[in-house]
Amino acid sequence: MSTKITFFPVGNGDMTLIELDDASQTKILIDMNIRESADDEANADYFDVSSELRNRLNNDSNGRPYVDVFLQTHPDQDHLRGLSKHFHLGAIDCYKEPKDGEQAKIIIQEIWSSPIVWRRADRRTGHTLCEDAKAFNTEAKRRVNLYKETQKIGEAGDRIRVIGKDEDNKTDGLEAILTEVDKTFTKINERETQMVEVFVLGPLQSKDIEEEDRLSKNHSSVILQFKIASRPYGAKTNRFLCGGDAEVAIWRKLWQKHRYDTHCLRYDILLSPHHCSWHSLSEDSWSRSKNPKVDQEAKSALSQAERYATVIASSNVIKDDDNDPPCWGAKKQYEAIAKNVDGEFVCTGTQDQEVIEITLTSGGPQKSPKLASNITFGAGLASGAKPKRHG
Amino acid sequence: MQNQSDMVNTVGLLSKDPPIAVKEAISQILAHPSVKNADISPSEDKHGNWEIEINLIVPLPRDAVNEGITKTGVKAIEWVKILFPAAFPSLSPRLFLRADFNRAHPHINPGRQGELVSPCIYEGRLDDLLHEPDWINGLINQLADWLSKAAAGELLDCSGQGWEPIRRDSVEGSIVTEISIIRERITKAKMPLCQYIRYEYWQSVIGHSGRIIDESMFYPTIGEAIRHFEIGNTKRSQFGTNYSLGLVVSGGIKNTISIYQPDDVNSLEQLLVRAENYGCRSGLEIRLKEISEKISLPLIEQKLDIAVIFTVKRPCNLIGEDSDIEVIPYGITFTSDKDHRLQLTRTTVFPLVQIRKVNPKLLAETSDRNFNKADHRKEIAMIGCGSLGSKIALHLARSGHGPFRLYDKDCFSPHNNARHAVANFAAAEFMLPKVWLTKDLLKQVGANVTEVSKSLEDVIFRLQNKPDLFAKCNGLIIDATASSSVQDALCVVSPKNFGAPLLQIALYGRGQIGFFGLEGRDRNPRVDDLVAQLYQLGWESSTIGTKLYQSTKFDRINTGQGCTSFSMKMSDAKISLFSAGIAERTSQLLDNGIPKDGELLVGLLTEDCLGVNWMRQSTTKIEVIHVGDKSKWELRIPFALKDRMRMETEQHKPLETGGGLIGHINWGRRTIYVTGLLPPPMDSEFRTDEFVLGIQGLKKQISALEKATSHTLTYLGTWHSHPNGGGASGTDKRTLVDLTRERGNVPSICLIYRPEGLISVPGPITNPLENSECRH
Repeated sequence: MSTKITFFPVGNGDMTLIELDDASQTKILIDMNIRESADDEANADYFDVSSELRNRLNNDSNGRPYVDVFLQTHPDQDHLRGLSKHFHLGAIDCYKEPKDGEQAKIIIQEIWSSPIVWRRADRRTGHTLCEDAKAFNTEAKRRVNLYKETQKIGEAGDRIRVIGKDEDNKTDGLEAILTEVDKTFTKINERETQMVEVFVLGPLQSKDIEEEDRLSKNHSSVILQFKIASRPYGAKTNRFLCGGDAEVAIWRKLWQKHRYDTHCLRYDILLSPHHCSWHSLSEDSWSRSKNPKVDQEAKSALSQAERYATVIASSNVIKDDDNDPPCWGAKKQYEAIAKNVDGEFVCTGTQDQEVIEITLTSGGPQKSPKLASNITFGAGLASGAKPKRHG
Repeated sequence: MQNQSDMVNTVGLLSKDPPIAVKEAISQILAHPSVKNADISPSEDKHGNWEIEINLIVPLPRDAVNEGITKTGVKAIEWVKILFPAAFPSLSPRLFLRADFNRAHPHINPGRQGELVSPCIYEGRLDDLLHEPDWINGLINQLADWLSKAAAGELLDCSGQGWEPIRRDSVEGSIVTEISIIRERITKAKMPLCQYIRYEYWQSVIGHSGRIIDESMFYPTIGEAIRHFEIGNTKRSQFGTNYSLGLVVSGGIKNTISIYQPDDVNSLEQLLVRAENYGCRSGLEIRLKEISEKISLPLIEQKLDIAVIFTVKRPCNLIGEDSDIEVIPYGITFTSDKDHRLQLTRTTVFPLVQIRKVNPKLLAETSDRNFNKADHRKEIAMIGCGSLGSKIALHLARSGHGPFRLYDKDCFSPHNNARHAVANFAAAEFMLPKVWLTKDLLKQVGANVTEVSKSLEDVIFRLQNKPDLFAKCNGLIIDATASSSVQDALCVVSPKNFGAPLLQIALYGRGQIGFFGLEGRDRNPRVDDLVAQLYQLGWESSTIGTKLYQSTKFDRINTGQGCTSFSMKMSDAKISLFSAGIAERTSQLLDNGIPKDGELLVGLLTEDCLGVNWMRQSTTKIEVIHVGDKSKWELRIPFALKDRMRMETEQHKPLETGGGLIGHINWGRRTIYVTGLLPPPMDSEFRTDEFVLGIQGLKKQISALEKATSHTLTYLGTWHSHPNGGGASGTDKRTLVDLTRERGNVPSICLIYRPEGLISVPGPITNPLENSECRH
């Protein structure tokens, strides 16, 4: 096994898996978008992301698949679709063994989530968050309450790391499970892997109601910078930056905050925010504005690329049209950022039946070798793309 | 000149094109996404092999992109030669990298400096990989992946995988040894060491095949070695082996060797250089000198192979092992000179593949079980080593379980060859004890068998004299005797005298039904309770019943006890259908812990005989009530039935209710098993102070029950409720007297259900008068 990061093709949505080559083969899942029809074998249009995820997971001692960590950047549907269906929620004792023909539910040993992000999203959507978001919130609350009652870090399946302070001092007393903004942590699922350092860039804290409102409207998200070594005690030579759907005002503020010490914004791999949305780079509308302008500060925050960096768009195919996200104009911007460091811009939608997998080596990220896909499978896919008439 | 050669080439191509399969493969290779401009002018050599050269794109880690080459010497574009053998596509093409490709990478096949480098890209045989659906692409994919990992320096990965042991794919010989013992010795010794060890080998079809006779005995001097080893003795065993000696050589465990060196030793000089690298040259030199001075062989020009076993401390554990000591064996062939002496100049050196001796750990790992040391001590007592018992013991032994304690008083007769796990013509004719043969069999597999005294004595008598016979058995006690008398003898044992739960396994109805009964904690439920539950099941389910009670006798397979010649006719394969499932479940229980409520599984052979459907029956605790006055009988009733009484009592409250009791009687042990309730007949009367059990249809029901179960289950008596509690009334006592009068010597039961618990109506439960009458 090697240490790697995998971006699943899930349309306009995020689903990223970090796999560490440590003793316990730690797995960190960031967001998910397991669409219904992706589960439906009859519908081959969607990549079978649930099986692909499961293939990469290990089973616990009771034979149940698990992830060490599930990070929820923010509770929009395209970031946690499929949670209730594929993951076990609730106390571990209530785990239900799968019936015949069912897939076993995946256990989340530790959740990383941010109550303030959830609150802002709930406000922004006028309290119409999706069912999976509500289910997630219930589960996160269960774990926090368990900690409050027992004052002990929970067992695997009960653990939670709260990211960022909540409003009205609601996170007071949770210090042991709380990581504030601008802090670094290294413990993953209560273990020191000696491989990862995570710096918390967001969610940003607001000074006043006006700012709170702006953060809400800008898709406040958990924003993390991972520094990852290829093996325990190795140099953390791989930097990965991900920020959910965070939009322009947030990136602008991050730049203002860190412009004189940009280390925390640097990356070898960037998951471009909000599925390559124009709104992460500009206050103007891509389709309605005649001459939409890039916000230079926000762009600077997203331009801290290392040499040969890769910018990933987790989105549908990006076309030269008015659509946003993914947005043609944003793609051009990210391509320029990548080109500047001899890097590359790639989109998960381009080859929507394959994952993008990057190995994290001691010498920095390494792309996967190009492998030939199964010939008959390729032929099958190709011939299945168009209806065939018969006279 | 140029033109001429072109012409020859063209003519050559015209006259001899590559075979169609090679052409097809080349066109696929060209389309491979990792293949850059290939120089495609396939050429044929004189052996009919075709070869092409291609360039493969290797993604490099960020830090190597600039240079275009990694620190370990992997380039962004790697030249590859693909050689299609004449037998292609039956055989896979061979792949070669440039001759100056860094041989320090692990997973490179042995080869010499200056030759093209042959990467080992696949764990199995390349020929097999070629037969996967991806065909030639599978090979190129694997090579691309290999190069990419080489570029990342991940082929040798100490954290995830461990140290890659020296690869020896095409070597001249093998050595079988239990390296854990050698490692232990080396670790204990700490200091550098070079000592003799007994060794035995022969030239088999694959070349030198050797084994270390006893890893735990190191001999520090050559004198001792010569005295004990019978070196060069051509005393031949069944396999024609030669006795020889081995040298265990260590540079000491403080000397960590962290350089990976591919295997290129093929002379004594190179072997000594290697010893120098491992920090143990002088020790080896001294020993080799001793050998050449002290050993003489009976013949001249006689060959003698000795083994040299380097033990090398590595910086991390070896892949898939829990030790950081790598064992690297070589063989040296000496040829005696005219003075019968061994000279160092008359030697050849060859690498040996190290093969683990079989042991429970290897068995467990091969069987896909996690082996931990605690399991190693979980003893399994096998009572009854007949065809079912021996098969299950063998299955368990083969997956690394044990040690075993074996008990069987029976002998192996010729007909046992039809079904017993042991197959031994001669042993059958001499009627050797089954215990001996089964022990041998398990030891051949590599399992441990604990010596038990008097293992041939009947367990029934053994238990009478030694009730704590199984107190030390801490894994599982398995009764596979299918003997009711053994079952009875085991039932008397108090729970504290069992070191582990008792599991009974048996086949019924000519191998149509399997029984798997595991006792609960504190022997509650006990196996006899589970057997009684099976009887009831046979009554409730006609599918089970017709098979369970199909013959007039309650015929279980006789696997030994009783020493009769009776044996149920049933094929070996049919027993295996059951024994396989039973053994797997048993293995799970041993690995994952044993449920405290016990377990009852009933297996039904499918109609097409392809498999067995095992049905899990819920088990329940048993309440024990002592009934009868002077004639002590024990009544055993499942909590589940008590629950049903409770529910019916609730439903009828404030009226009394009741019904009939059915079950099994064990006369020998004076035990009554209540297995079911009969509903009250239509003419029963329910009152606040009385319940009258009617009779309408009762007789018919009872005769149907007795008939269907071959009298295994019978009518036992009555139960009724006292919803407000209280003891037995005068009426109750009278009813019991009536019952015993009617039923004579057959015990009769009257139970009363009260919210505070179950009681039986006091009084004699058999009618002695009837007995005395009988005597007349």
